[in-house]
This record gives sequence, structure tokens and C-alpha cells, in this order.
Amino acid sequence: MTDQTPEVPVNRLSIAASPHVREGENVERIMWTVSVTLVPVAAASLFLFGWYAGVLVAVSVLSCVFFEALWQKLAGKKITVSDGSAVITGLLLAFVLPPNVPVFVVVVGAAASIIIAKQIFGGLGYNIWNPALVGRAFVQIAYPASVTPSAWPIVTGQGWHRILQDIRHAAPVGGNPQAFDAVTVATPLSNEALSTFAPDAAGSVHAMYPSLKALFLGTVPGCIGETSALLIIIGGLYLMYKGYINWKVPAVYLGTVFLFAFVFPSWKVPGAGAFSGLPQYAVGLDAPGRLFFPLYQVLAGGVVLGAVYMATDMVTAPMTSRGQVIFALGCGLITAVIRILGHGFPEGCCYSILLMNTATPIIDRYTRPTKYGAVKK
Amino acid sequence: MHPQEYKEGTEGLATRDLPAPEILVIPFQQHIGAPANPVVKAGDRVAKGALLGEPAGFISAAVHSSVSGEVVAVERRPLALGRSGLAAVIRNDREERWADGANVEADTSNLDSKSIRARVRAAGIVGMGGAAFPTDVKLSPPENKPIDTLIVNGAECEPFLTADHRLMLEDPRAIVLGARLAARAAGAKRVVFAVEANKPDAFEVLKDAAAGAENARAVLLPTRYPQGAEKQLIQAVTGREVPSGGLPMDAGVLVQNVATCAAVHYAVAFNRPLVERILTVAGPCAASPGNFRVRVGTPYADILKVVGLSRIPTRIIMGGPMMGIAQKGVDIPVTKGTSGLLLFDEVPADAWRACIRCGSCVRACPVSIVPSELSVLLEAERFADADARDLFDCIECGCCVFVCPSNRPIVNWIKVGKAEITARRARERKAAT
Repeated sequence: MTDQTPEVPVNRLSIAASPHVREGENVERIMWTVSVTLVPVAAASLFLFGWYAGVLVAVSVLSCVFFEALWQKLAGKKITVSDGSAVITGLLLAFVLPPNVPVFVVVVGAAASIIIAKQIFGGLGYNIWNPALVGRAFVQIAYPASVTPSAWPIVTGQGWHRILQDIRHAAPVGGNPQAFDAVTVATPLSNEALSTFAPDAAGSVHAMYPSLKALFLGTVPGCIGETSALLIIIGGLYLMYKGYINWKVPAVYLGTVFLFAFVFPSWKVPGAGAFSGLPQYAVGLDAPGRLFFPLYQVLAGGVVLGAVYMATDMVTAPMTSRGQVIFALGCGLITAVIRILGHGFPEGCCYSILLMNTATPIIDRYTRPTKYGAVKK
Repeated sequence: MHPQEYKEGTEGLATRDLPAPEILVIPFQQHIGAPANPVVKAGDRVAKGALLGEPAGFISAAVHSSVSGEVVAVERRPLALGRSGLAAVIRNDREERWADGANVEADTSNLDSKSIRARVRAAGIVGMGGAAFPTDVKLSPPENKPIDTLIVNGAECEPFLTADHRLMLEDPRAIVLGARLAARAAGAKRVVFAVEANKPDAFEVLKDAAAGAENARAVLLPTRYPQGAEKQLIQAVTGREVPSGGLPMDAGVLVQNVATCAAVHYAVAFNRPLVERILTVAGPCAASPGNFRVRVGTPYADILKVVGLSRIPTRIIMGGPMMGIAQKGVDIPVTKGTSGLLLFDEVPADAWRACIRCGSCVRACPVSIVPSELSVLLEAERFADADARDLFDCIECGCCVFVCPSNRPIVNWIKVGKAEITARRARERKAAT
């Protein structure tokens, strides 16, 4: 017991509403954690596609941060680029663009992502559509030849020394990236690749291209950050462990694509062009082929990246687990329909998520939890 | 939800008696409902347990002197809820002289429910878990809403607080006897003593104390916040839900805090008014934290003299850290509902940002409403829309704010929203008449 009255500086006592303790989670930590899990994917893109891919990732991130800061400065708002959300958008935008896209296309995409998709709506938390995907959709329409190139580069199996060699000998930034010596081939979802699914007279699939292992590791042509399912899944598992994403979203999304492709295995007829009739169904596929096609559909293209990192975006996806499952189901269906039944685009991941983003408010409305005491009175 | 408990600093320490201070400030409103009407004036001499204010209506409570001495003033004083209110200021004469008839053992064996309620009302008993709702009102259910179960709330789910824990260990008999009286008064056929799993010793003690009594049992509930909130407790114990907008009696249940039950026992069996209670004094700035038996009306400053400060507090909280109220000074007195006094020097930042729709609050909400949606509506002052989205189902437990990565002051907005809607409804009623 003390005899003296302890001094409490009464005028310095702070008043605030309860609660007076916090769990300690914050937006910055969430955003930077997501960004860090994307770093291995970015690093792998250098290995897979060469140093120019790294330039594009850097340009995309810096452009997104720049446009965010610029907009907030001009609008007289607090500059919040340190929250890390623009960095995620920059990484993801680069990841869904081809590794030989011109630099200015990335800058335009970044402007569309940050200004049109995000800041006009009020910034982080208020955007309706995933900013990176809006950026991608914008440049796909504005620069179709650059975003859907006829040839895709890939550095095949020669490792880091090849990257260093490229850096030494390659054309300067802004020059023709294809000048450095990469193999240019068709992407796994192109009609050329898919046509190799046509079973022969004996009913077996041959000339499968590329292998599931290559698709899983990412040593296939494709957009900068979409090819390595392995690295994307590792990042996703960590985010699930942290509780930042719901495992059901990638599971349901990829599961839906798998099931759809299993039920409707089909290949495109080479040279038939768009709108030339329904695709042919591989009725004659043998059992391994029946399983191979849906696995191929899951691993090829951008759907793993989309399912793990974009359909799980907190801001633009529903809030309840039930809503997220419906959202993921919708993404899977739309992706599969565009890819397998459609003729126009080889890939449907980007538009599937943007369309489901649009449906998020209505999904949220119909998947509200049943409140305590909602029973009869 | 499992906030860190911080109970280890005080739960093992026996309750200490805090010396009655020289000057006490006893508010006439320590409860939900109408303030008591003063029956004393400056200059009156009062005994310990003497009536200072009588209930002003059905939902109101009597107020008694917690020491013998002289009424120095009846005046407005700063109180715990932030506003000032009328209080009797009493100079303690240190004689500890009880009022006539008070603190005298009485026979309880043949009391009917009406006389139990009368004694509870006369003793000014209110809910001691924090809400301070007049207990006799809760013991008087209307005939069309029969109560079959009394749940005695020993969950004490707020971090830091261990006052109920100590009471269960130190005076289980009073709790059990008081519960039996309360059950008789309310017509409840069974009594359930509910304790959280983090207090196994209290559970054993209550189980033993309740053994032999008919239709009484003790249950151990999972430790989670807010297990002790009335609605959550009813669900955990009985599986029933209180209908939205309803009261526990709508589910046939009466919930009483363990300390309230003990107070009922002393009121009915000893004619002892509610003039003291146990409260936890803790937090990083408390030099010797612990549980203290404190006279109602003791200013915080007199408690801090005994507890001592190891650091300078920047926030003093009445109650627990999840639902407690930040205090504006140390001249504010302890009331019947003061379960704790927490001394913090680290508090959450005030800055908040836009909702990123992470859904953490939706997962954390124990009443399964959508706090993020309410926060966005209330931030925009769309009160009517918030009302249509379950605003009044919120129990203000603070889980949503606790987990919010954007640090949004959701509970604060909800309190403001409820007040605004309530005021609007009152205006509409007035306009209609």
C-alpha cells in the first residue's frame, strides 16, 4: 500500500468507444503479405521468360504506385501507396500480360487499373472490379495484337546463366523484346495446342502438348505470372494459413473448370475460326484422355492465378463463405464456357472474374448469415 | 473469438477489502431506468444501509448509503457513463453503524415469490455483470411468459476481469442460495450454473455447492468471447435463441450474474442492501492488481491509492476491455455495476480507413449480423437503412472492431445509430399523440 496519491494526468486520459483492445491485424500487413507471396512468381518469370519479363513487372508495379500517388495528390487526398495495395495490382497486372508486351502497354494498363478501376470509385475498398483485371481487359481491347501476340517467348530449360546472357546481349528496354533468342510457340490454350487432343482412329490421345508436369511447373508459354501453378499454389497455401483467403474459392473455381471439362471434353478445329459451329466433342477419348483434358484445362492458362489471387480479392468478392463459393462456382462456369464452348477467346478467366465481381453485391445480399434470434417471436 | 485473457495476474489472488474512504459519492442512478428519488438532504446523518433514494417507478432501483456518516451534499457529480448525475456525497464517520433492521439474519424458508421480490427491490439489487438492470423487474415475468430456467452467469468472458471468478471460489454458498431464491421468485424450475472452461476450479466449487439441490446443475462452457453475453449464454446452455427484439423471458430463460445471486442471498436472508461489490483492478499500469471488495460510492482515486501505479495510465476503463467505458477522471465513483477498473497506457490508434470487405467481422459476429455493412451505412449516416439491416440486434460486444484490419469504430457508430433511431422514434411517437 502506498501512502501518496498516485498522480493520474486526468486531462491526458484518452476517451474512445469500446473495445479498448485489438487483435492487431491491419490492412498494410495483409496487402504486403500478399505482395510477398507473389515475389517467387515474379522471380520465376525471369527464369522462364527472360529479363524483359522482370522489366515489365517492375514497370507495372512502379506505374501503379505512381498513378495512385498522382491521383491522390491531384485529388487532395491522403497518399496511401504505402498500404501495398497498388503494389499487388502492379504485380498482378504484369502477371496477366504476355512477356513480350511493349512497355507502354503496361503503363496504359496500370493507369486503367489504378485510375479507372480503383481511384474513381474512391480507392481501396470501394472498387467494384478487380483493378488488375480491368487493366488487362482495357489493354486487351486497346492493343489486341500486343496482348494476344501470335508468338510467345519462352526460355527453355537453360536456367539463370541464360537470363544473364540475355541481359548482356539483349536489345535496350523498349526495343523489340523478341530480338533476344527465345523459342516462340503457341500457348497451351490456343487452337493449335488444343487441336492435338483429337483422338486418332483407335480413340487414344496423342501428341499431347504440353505435359501436365510442364504446366504445373510453369515451363510453358503464357502470361508472365500465370504459368507456374506450383508457385502460385505455394503462395496461396500460405495465405490460407494466414486466414487471408478462403480455400473454398480456388477449390470450387478449379473444381468447376475440371468438372465442366470432364463432362464436355472438346477440342477446337484448327483453322475453323470463330463462330463456325459448335466445337467437336471428344466422344471417343479413352480413359486417360478423359482425365487428361480436364486436368489440362485447370493447369493451362491463367485460371490457377485467377482462382488463388483474384477470385479471392477481399474488396471485389463476396464476404461470406457461402457467397464466396457461389462466386467461385460462377467464375468456374464462365471460364469453362468461354474456353470450351466459345470460339472467340482461348481464355475466359479474366472476364469470368470481372463478371462475377459485378454480381458480388447481389450475392452478398442473398447470402447474408441468418442472424441470431431470426426465429419466430 | 479468443482475445488474450490476461486473467493470470489476478485470478489467483484472494479478494482484499478496500478501506472505506473518507468521502463517498453515491449516485442516484446506478442502474438502467429512472434515477432514484433522493430522500436525504445535506446535513442528514445516515447509517450504513440507510435509504438515500427510493425507486422512481417500476424500472428503477433503491440506493443506500454504504457507510455511516453525514450527507455533505446532494449535487451533480461526474459519473462513469460520461455525463454528470445527481449523487449523495457522504462523509464517512468510520463507525460502520448499520441502519435499524439492516444486516440482520431473517428466515427465508417460507417466503413466497412476491416477498422475495419485495426484499430484492428494497435492497436495491441490480444486475452486477455490468448492465445494472433492476433485478426485481427481471424476477417479475408477465404471466404469459413463464420462465423455466435460471442461468447463473459465471462465464466472465471479458479479458482481465476475475471478480466473479474469485466470488465463485470464495463464497459459492451465497451464490447457490441466492440463485435458489431468484429461481423461486421467478418460478424457474431448474437452475444452471454456467462457468467458462478457463475456470475449472470455480466450476468444481459451484458443482459441489449445488450438489444435493434439486434441479440444479453446473455446466462447463467453452472459453470464448462473448460467452457471458446473455443471448450467447442462453444459446450455449439451452440451445434456444432469444427472438430478435425480444428478451430472455421470450425464450423462457432468466439470466443472473453470480454476484447478483450472492447479493440476492444477502438481501433476502440478511436484509442487507447492495452497498459493496467485488471488482477487479488490473491492467499494465496497476502496481498491485487484484480483486477488491469496495463500497459503492468509492471514488477511483481512493482505489488507485491502494493499488498504486507502476506506470502512468492514459486510459482508465470501467468494466472489461471489450465493452468497458473509458473514464474521464478519477473522481468518478464505483457503482453497483462496476465490475472492473483497468489501467492502460497503450490503447488502439484512433485512425481508421475504408472497409476492405475482408469479412472478418462477419465471421466474428456472435449474433450473425453484417457489421461491415452497418459500418458503411452508419459512416454515411444512413440510419434508417442501418435500422433495416439489424442495427438493434447488435449486442455491442466489440468482436467486429477487435478483428477489423481497417480499425473501423463500428461499435461507436452503432451506438450513435441506435441513439439516433431511438430519438427519431420518440419524436414520431410524440408527433402522433
